[in-house]
Amino acid sequence: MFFLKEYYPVLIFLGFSLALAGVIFGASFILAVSDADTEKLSSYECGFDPYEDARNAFDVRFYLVAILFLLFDIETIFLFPWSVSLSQLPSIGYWSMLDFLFELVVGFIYAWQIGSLDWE
Amino acid sequence: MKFALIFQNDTVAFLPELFLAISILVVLLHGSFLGVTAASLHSYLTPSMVRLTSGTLFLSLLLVINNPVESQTLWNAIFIADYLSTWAKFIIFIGLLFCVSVSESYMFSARFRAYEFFVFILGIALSLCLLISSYDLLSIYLSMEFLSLIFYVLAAWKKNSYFSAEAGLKYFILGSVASIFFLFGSSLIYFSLGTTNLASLALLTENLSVSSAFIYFGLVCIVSALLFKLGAAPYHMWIADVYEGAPTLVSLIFALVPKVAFFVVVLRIAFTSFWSLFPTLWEDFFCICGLLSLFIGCLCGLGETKIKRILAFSSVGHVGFLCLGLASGSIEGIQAVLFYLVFYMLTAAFLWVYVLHLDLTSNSSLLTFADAIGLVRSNPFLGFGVVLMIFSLAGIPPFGGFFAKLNIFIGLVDSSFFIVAIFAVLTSVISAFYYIRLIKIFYFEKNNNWFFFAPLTKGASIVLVLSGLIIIFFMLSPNLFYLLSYKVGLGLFF
Amino acid sequence: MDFIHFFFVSTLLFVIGVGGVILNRTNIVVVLMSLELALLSVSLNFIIFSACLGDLTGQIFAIFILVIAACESSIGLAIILVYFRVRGSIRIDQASLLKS
Repeated sequence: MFFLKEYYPVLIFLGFSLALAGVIFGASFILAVSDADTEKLSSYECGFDPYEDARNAFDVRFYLVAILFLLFDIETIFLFPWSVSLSQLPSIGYWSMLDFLFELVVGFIYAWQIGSLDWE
Repeated sequence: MKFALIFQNDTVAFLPELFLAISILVVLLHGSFLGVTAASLHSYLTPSMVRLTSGTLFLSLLLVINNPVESQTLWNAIFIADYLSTWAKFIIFIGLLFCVSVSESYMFSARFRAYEFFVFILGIALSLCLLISSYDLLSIYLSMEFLSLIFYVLAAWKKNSYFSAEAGLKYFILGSVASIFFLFGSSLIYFSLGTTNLASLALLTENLSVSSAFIYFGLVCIVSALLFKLGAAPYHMWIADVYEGAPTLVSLIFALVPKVAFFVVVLRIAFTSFWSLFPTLWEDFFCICGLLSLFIGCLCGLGETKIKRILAFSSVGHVGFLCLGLASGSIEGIQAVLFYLVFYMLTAAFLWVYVLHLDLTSNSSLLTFADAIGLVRSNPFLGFGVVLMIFSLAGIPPFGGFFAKLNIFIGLVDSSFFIVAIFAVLTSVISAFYYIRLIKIFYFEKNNNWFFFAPLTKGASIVLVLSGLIIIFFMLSPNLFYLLSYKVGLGLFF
Repeated sequence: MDFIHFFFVSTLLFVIGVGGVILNRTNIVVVLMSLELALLSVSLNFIIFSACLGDLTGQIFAIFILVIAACESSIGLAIILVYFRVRGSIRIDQASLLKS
């Protein structure tokens, strides 16, 4: 055991993940009410029929969701270097990033208002 | 609040841009919230948007003129505020105010119900202001991309028109290639000189005896990308198609405002940073580009029958003149370029507003000469004004365009570019042919159909009167433009 | 470390990207992919030069290039969508309605 002393954190991590997965799965297995019908038991593929021909007409709503995801993911890219170096920046560093996030929130409110986030 | 002391001066100097940025957010939210109720009430959002946008642009203009900061670099030397940036922003705002005043009636007649167009105009204003104030290759690239992305969307604005979609696609592909060449060139400059700041580049290349191939190739890439966005030859291929395919209001914006900003950037790169490379690189480069642009502008314009393409090729020719003014490499050259830019913008404003008026009254999708027949019968004053503007474009005295070309020729001859000057005069004469042909069509052609008479709208008349008066009666009071261009040119050098 | 070899790789990628834009005859989406490849190669260029010079400016430039590339590709896809809706195909040879 003394050879593997540095790997104790990995063991703790393994134990935590097993416990967490067991709690979540076990709770839903024991406590949930199961009222199965054909629609719920069929396999899921984004609303499509899963065993159909793969060459359907592409729904533009997927493209819209992908583009919105891309833009907010780019915002997240900027959050990473900022969060790492924040301890060495004066308070203007904090407020610049908050201003950037605020502008993207305004864009989000605009997208919400004109209905890009509705699926139908 | 200690951070207020670090960037206080920079914030004060950047008040116009900050005001524009905040107003973009406010106008966007205002439009989106109001658009929901407007659609339910069947009311019409464009008039309030026009007034908001023109009010914002006017207030930003006041902020620019009253800037307390004189001449210093800002924001860690990425931006600069000097006379050139103040007066170039002034010209940009005047041009955009022209566009907005014309747009209301156009959008009513052409049935554009989209209010995002005005948010785009504010975005164009912000990006052009940032581009003019840029003093680092990074900020030039970011502002240029901001501007170009808005322009790609505007070119493809009409969703059910073949021509608009194709124009947007072509502009997007070619414009992105140009931006990538700009980036490649700036990466080579960064590698050979270790910095991207224009002031540091000026200090490093001050007494350059040996230049590596990296610097030359990088500079050629950078300035080629900038000349591409202007429409100089040999990068002129996209101009005719995009000006013709885009909706006419969008072509008006393309023709008026970006040229000033891109020429300011080229001036900063050629005259501030890499001034010592003038005899080896810039003279030959700008002479070749200028002569090619003049040549192509006059030859391709001769064979065209569609009005928007003729105006596009004439703009290629004028960019050629401006490149020749840069090639002369003296203070007279810079002054001539700045002077010519103002006069080109005013003349283009008049002519494109006339094309907009034609576009509303004709029922074909592409304007040809057949639509321009009979202007003098339907609206004699407008016809006379267009004739005088065309004389100014062709360089006939005593209108403003003649003095602009005269300044460029004086600069060229002072720097001993005699053969180039002679060639420029010859191409100017040949291109005058297709200008005068337009006048012949207005006055002397007989039309087979009925004339359709439409009155000029209020916004269009304001633009036509302002630009027409300045150009036609220029000789009575030329002092203002000469003094301003001299002051700005000297500010660039010292 | 011989940085010139890295520079050859990124320049080769750049040439392939720009060549893909120019020499393409059929598909517009291939043009978009080549543009992204060229932008990526320039970004790689900046990071190489930043490592070679020991300066941080190149890496900052590279992050900004990434962000602009993402925005540009989303606008490019939107324009291709509009074009496809109007024309019904994405072949470039048929995009010649505006020729004189």
